[in-house]
Amino acid sequence: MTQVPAQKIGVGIVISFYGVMAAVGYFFSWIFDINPLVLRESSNSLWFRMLIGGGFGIGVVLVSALFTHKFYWAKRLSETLRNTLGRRNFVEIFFFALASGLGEEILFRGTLQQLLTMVLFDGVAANIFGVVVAAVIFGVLHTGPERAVFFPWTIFAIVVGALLGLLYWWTGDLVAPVTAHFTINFFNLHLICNRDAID
Amino acid sequence: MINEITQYPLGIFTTVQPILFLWVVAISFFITISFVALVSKDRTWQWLCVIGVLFFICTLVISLIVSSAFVGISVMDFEFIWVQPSS
Repeated sequence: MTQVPAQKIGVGIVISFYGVMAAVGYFFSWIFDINPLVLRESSNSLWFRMLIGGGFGIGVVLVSALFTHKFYWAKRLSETLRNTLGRRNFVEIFFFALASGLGEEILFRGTLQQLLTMVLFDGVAANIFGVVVAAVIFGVLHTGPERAVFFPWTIFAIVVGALLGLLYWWTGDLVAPVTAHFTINFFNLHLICNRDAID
Repeated sequence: MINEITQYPLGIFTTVQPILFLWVVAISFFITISFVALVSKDRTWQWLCVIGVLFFICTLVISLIVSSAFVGISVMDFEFIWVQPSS
């Protein structure tokens, strides 16, 4: 039997939360005079970057669906997240995915990753340091009350965060990471929240 | 009557690198929110705020020392002098 969530989190609260996250990112970017959206001038077209991001996102969604199908820990995590989030419609999921994609990428990739590359190291070492540390901080924040259940989510977020960081480094701006993040959250939220409807 | 000579210490910042200092503050902030997320289970938000502030201060001090050692530039220096007020 599925638990009924105590109180559903509304779209307004989610958008406000990620809005604050983006504002924190922009605040730090303003202090350090950096542009969180652009790391450097990109040589690839906008469509190419969106395609790369979308393709990467679809790949991650397929891997997570496979894990949920094959492994008990992934199934348990999916059920726990579904109990927390409750059933969601298309519009809610769209705005959740868009807000989280933009807010998290502006803060963690656009701001934190750039900041981390600024001081301690030079060249490739600085970029690797930025990607890894930003991914670890991003992953650690993907946690929940039941440590054993949410631990795979943390590891998953660290790995995906590092790959999104590499995408940001490679493509030169936030278009690919935001598209990838939106795609992952949009399809995974559908699979998590409305899975029994899909089954 | 004993004539007391009162001296008091005065701390003076002799070197401040504002960008480096703000960088350390920013990174300490991110490390702090990660730590608070890790220890958040079964704690009220008041406790988490206190833990966050204390952890932020500790991280800031340690980060200042470590980044000074890494970068080789003194991020922040201060010295104490003893001041004797004129009577």
